Parts: sequence; structure tokens; C-alpha cells
Amino acid sequence: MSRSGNEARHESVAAQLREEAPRLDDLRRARLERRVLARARGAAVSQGTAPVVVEARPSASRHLGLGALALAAAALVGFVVRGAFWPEPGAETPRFAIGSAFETREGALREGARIELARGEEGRLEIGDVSASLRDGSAIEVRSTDLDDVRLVLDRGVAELSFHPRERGRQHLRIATPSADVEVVGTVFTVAVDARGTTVSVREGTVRVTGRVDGASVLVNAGGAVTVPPVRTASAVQTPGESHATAPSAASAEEAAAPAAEAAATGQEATPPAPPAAPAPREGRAASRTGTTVSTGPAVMNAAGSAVPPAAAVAATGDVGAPSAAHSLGDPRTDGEVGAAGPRPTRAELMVVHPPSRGLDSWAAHRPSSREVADAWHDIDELQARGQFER
Amino acid sequence: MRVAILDRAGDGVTSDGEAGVRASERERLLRAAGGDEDAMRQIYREHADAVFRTACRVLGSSDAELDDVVQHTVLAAIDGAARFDGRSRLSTWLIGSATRRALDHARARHRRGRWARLREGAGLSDGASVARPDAQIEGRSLAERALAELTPDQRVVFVLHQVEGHTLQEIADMTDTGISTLHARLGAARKRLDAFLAREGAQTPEEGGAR
Repeated sequence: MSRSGNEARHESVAAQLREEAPRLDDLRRARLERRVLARARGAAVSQGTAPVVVEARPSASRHLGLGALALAAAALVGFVVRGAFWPEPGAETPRFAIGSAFETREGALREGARIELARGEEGRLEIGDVSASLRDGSAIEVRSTDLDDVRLVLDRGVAELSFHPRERGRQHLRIATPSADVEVVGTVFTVAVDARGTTVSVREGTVRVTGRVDGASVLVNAGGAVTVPPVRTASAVQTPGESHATAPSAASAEEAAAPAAEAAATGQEATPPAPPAAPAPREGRAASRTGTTVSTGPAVMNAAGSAVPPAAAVAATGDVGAPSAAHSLGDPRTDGEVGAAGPRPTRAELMVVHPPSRGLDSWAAHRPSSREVADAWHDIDELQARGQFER
Repeated sequence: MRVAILDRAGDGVTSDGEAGVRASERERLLRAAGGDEDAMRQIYREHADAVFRTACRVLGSSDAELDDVVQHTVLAAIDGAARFDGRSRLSTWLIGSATRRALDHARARHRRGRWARLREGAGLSDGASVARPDAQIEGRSLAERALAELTPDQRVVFVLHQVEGHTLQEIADMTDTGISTLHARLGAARKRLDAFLAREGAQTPEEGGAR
């Protein structure tokens, strides 16, 4: 192989990498901006005009010291409260408990801890406002115990999670599985990993699930479930609701579902968007995404997927395929908003940042661009900072 | 065509206009450190894309740590505003910081990967994968797959030099690494790329274009 030939190949690879430069999509950029500003603002407030102090990860020695201290404390608690499966509520220290018919173990959790349950064992983790119940055979790793940003990796098994943040929007929970990333705002849901992939079933709130292979995101509302197959195939979304014989177009279904789902999340009555409008959901029922087909990708997962736990016996009504050209990063129509309400402001919030005099209906009638949504978030942040608005 | 190469730190060739830009960047950074939210927002909006792109290329586009790297890079810059002396552009400073952070994550994963391969060789594998998260993606381009073949250190020097167009001196300043080490890594990276491209049967653009 000639030297010039090799150089040409290197340059060709470099040129291709330049052409395919990864970029932040607008919504992700806006979300990150909020996090950065919140952290920086918090540090600035606590220190007056002094330089912002970045929260540093504990050093290894501090880890060891804290770990030893926590283990000693756990042992003491174990002796004193013999048989107690779980420590007193409200404890801020991340903790775990593993139990079987024969014995129980408990202790403090450290970042990097990995818990593997044998057959017949069950476990529980508690990290700040996050609690997770693990079924037997599960394997989970604790990547971060930062109370504002809890991160777990579920390699196999089933974890039933509950997350009720005290500061909604500031605290985050993320669960990575071999095939998906699950990002949570505040909810009760189940993540199951098996040969069929990762199944996320949501009981309360909304969860964003991102396919690890294709990067496609979907928001799963209460009562819904999504299965991300382990290989490059489509995802099937299942939500409760009526089965429509005629599926509306993707765009109209999305537009129709967005305010409805939003209203379901906030408990308000939805304003129907421009026709054809979807019926507003009744209280306690998630907005139907019946028939919402976002792309024409290969639908491999049977929509009647048995991966849904019995508690979430739902009608198999639609599917979300692999991302098409219309569902690519940076596309404001679809980023993070596959078939349902994305992380857009609620109607109440929009009323503040875009008062009715400007025409709230215009918000319902058109899909705001990612930039508009991001700007709305910033306006909300500003108002919140001034104490003039509360989410 | 490479992108424009920034002035080398400390080489004394900075123009007045360039000096003004750097002074303005420094002033903005200090305002952000003092709690000025507009300054924080401006810094984030101007540099988040470049920081993300750098972290992405080192860690892989689906890595769970990407957001953390971006967030901590910006926060650390605000925190360490006093250390920014204006010898380089703020973008260079931030990319250097992001590179080091991403590199830490990537090295840790690479080490875990070696241990996992050793376990696998000894028949002790637990099946856990610690490769780049996008290493298994089938739809990746040849270039992405080629990049994933490199070690984290090789990837950094190849991306910053060959793709982004930074000089080795700039990369040395960014990563606190000696130039001779960078030369060696770049050479090793190219050799590894050659081997990979030969395996893949890749052709030069003249021969038929990269796939």
C-alpha cells in the first residue's frame, strides 16, 4: 500500500467524520442549558458573588472513608434492628437491602456498586427520592448516587422504580440497559431486560426511552409501555385507549395527542388543536396514541407484545418504527416528541410566557419549533428566578 | 480542507482584534463566575455544540456520560474563570477541558474492556460489554467504525489533528501531553486505521470513494 494511498484514506476518513459531525438537537441543548444554569445559579446564590464552585466527585480516599463509615453504621443498625429489612425512612445515605427466605443483607450504596441477585432473592435500593425494587435474577450497577442525577445500569432482570423528586425538573433519574436509555422526570415505572430487549411500563408520570441502537426517543405516558428490541429493529408502543379502525396521519395524530397528553399530565382540560382533533382524555387516563405511526421502518416487534406485565394489560394499538428521515436528530418536528407531548411547557406555563392576548390558541394550532420551546423554557426560568412563577 | 487553525498559545503573533476577542471572552467568563446569568447562557450557547461534538467523538454518540461531560466542562470553566489567561481562545480552552474529561471516561472504559477481555479469555466472562456504546451499531459509517478501532488516546489525537485541524502544539497544550508522545500516538492511530481499512477493503477516493 503506497504512502500517498494511505494518506488519502486517512483524509477520506477525516472528511467523512467532518461531514457526519454529531450535533446537539435543540431540545437536548435546551435541557442541558437549564441544568447548567440551575447548577451555576445555585452555586452563585450560595456564595454571593464568589466564583461558582463545581460539585466535585468525592475522591477515592473519601469514598473509602465514607464507605467504611457507612458499612460500620450499617452493621450496627443490622445488630440493633435485627430482622428489619429496610432502614428508617428519610435516610439520605443511599442504601440497599437484599433478602431471601433465609437471610437479609443491607448496607450503604457507593457509586460503582454492582448488585446481582440470585434465584429467590429480592432486593431494594434507595437513593434519595429514587427507590427500586429488584426481582430475583436481576443485575444492576449504581453509576451515580448524586441525589440530583441518579444513574443506574440494569443489565438483566426487572427493576420496579419509583421516583418522586422534591424538586421537579432539577432532579433526574436515568437507567441504562443494554439496548435503551430511560430518562425520568418523576414517576413510577418498571424496567425489564430479557431476551426480547428492554420493556418499560409506566404506571405514573412520563418516561423518555431512547433506543441505544438508533437513538430514537419516545415518551411513554402513564399506562403505556414500550419495548426496545435488543437488535436493530423497531420499538412497539402500547398505550391504553380505544382502537381506531382508521389511523390518522402521523402529523395530525401527534398534534392531536400533544395538548391532550399535556393536559393529562397537568390535570387540566385540554384545548383541542386544529381539526382533526383528538378527544381530550378523561382524568386518570393517558392520551391515546392510537395508530400513530411515525415512520415506515421495519416493525418487527408484535404490538401485542407479551413483554407487557399483566398489571399493564393494554390494547396493542400502534407502533413506532425505526427512525426515518423525518425522525432524525435536529428535526424540531419530531425530536423527543414521538407521537406525544414532548418536554414542552404546559399550557399554564405558556400562558405566562405567551399571554392569552397573543393568542393561546395559536400555540395549540401549530407545533412550536424547538427554538420556541427552548425560549419558552428560558422565559420560565427567568420568571422562576424572580419568584414570579412556580412550576 | 482543514478548518482554520487558531493561534498557537504564547507565540506572540496574536493580532489586536484577536486580543480583543480573548479579552472579551475572559471578561464574560469572569462575569459568569460572578453570577451573571446572561454571561453563563452566552458561554453555554456559543460553545455547547463544539464541546458536545468533541465528547461525542471520544466517547461515542450514544454514551450516557455525554451530557455530564458537556455540563461539567461548562461549569468547570465558569468555576475556573480565574485560570483562563486569554492565551488561547475560549473555545480551545473548553475543547481541551472536554477532551480531558471525555478521555478520563473513555480510558476507564477501555481499562474495563481489557479486564473483561482477559476474563473472557479465561472463561470467566459475565457477558457484560464495556466497549463504546455505539460499537455494536450496525448502521455506522466506515469512518465511525474506523474511529472506534482506535484507543481513546489515539482517537483524541486523530480527531483533534486530522479532523478538527488543530496543530500538535495546540493539542499538547490542550491535553498536557508531550509532542513526541502525540506524534507516536498519531502514527499508531494511522497504522491501526490502515489495518482496519485494509480489512474492510476500503478504497481511496480516487479508487472509488470511501464507503
